[in-house]
Amino acid sequence: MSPILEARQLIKTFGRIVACDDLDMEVWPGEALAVVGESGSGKTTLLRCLSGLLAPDSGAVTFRSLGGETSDLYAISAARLRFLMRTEWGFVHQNPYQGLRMNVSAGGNIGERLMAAGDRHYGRIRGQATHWLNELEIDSARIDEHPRTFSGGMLQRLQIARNLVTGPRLLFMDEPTGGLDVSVQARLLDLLRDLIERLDLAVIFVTHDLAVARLIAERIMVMRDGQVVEQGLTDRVLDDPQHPYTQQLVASILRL
Amino acid sequence: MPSDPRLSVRHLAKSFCLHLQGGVELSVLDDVSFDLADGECMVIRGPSGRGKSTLLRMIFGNYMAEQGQILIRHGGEVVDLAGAAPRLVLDVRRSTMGYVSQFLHCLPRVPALDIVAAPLRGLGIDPQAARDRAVQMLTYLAIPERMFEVPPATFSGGEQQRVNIARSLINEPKLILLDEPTASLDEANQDRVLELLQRQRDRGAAVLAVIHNTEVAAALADRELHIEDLRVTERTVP
Repeated sequence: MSPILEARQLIKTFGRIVACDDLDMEVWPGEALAVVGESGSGKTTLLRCLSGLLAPDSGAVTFRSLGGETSDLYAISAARLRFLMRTEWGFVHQNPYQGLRMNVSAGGNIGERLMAAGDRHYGRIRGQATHWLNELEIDSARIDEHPRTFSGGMLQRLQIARNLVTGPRLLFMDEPTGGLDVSVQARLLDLLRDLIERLDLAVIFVTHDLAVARLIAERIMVMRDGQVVEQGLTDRVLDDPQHPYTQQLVASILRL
Repeated sequence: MPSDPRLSVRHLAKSFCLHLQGGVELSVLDDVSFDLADGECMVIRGPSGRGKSTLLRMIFGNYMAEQGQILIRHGGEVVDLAGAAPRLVLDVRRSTMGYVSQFLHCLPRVPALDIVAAPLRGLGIDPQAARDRAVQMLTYLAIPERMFEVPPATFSGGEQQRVNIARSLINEPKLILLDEPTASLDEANQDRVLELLQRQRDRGAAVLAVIHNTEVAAALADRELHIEDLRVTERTVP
């Protein structure tokens, strides 16, 4: 088996700020990786570079499709990159308004991604939209409603449904439960855990919440100032942190 | 000819560096070596705070081994888990090594039955078959059926501990690590767990357990390992 995504010597700067400082990393099929660190540590920039949204200053990101064919995200054509984004991976934004279209129905939001991937059969698209609404525990009777009538938790679930409809093997998520009520967050995390296991998804997600990382990810990367200060099995890093910064993060968790 | 050991610990050392306390260095274990064969049960004993749990956690990959080797026979090969890549550790945990921690790490909102069945699902076993097997395990450990669909966060300490044991043994690991598996159990349940562990050993599992209770330890131990002053010594079983 080979990694589904690999990054080599990734560098991204904003003026004098180094957001990604010569990073190497890889993610394997079916593996859930959490990227943690405080605001400004470079984790969101890394996610954007890895997912084709933001070209790094230098370095390469390579995606490997099921057949073993590799694509260097920043060397392939824009059309090919768009196709990969719509079919092979999904991106769940922290703010669902960024990942959904508010003036299109819930069903339309899901179906749109299928159509972008080439499907034209109305009945099948609607059937798939219904199926994915159910999977994400959204009442399929609301398929024709606009998402602006949805609650924050429902919007986030709709955004995930829209991403999963094309059967991606890799999901990027940026603070997917940020800004949600605790109980809503808990339900979303349950759903995500179940979907990741059943669909055998590889996931790279950014969070500042170590409890969320422990719940979802088997592997964790701790970032500070654009560098990875510690990485490894999630339970090992959180139960026996080695780096001073990781020890500080773990010590800052509130326990009930 | 005796087969290769299931677990071979070589010159293992561990200290904790507390960066938030001015970099204090706490040595816990030094130069620990021992072997454990299939079908053998070794009990680790020694006063509290001397590194018994730390040793188990290092073998499981939960604590980092900074020196030495943790050689485990996994599938057809011997792998060194000290410093191994996370994927290898996870693979060994999935199919070769089980760990019963002192406390159940409850996942909020997941029913007891699904917590117990999870390791089988992880091996690609059909979810319904996994649940059926989980029912058998929980029934054997005398967890009432009405609690199967309840998340164990509200269970008593003894019930949580049995859920924990059921979860860790459901996939019949070849190497079983246990940290005080009977500490919070009443006598009837203690006997049940003891019998379950003896059965695991008799089917050929290598068992390594931290047990304080002298009677339980005596009932289970083929060998005894004592930890004192950072080192281990083997003592004959009384």
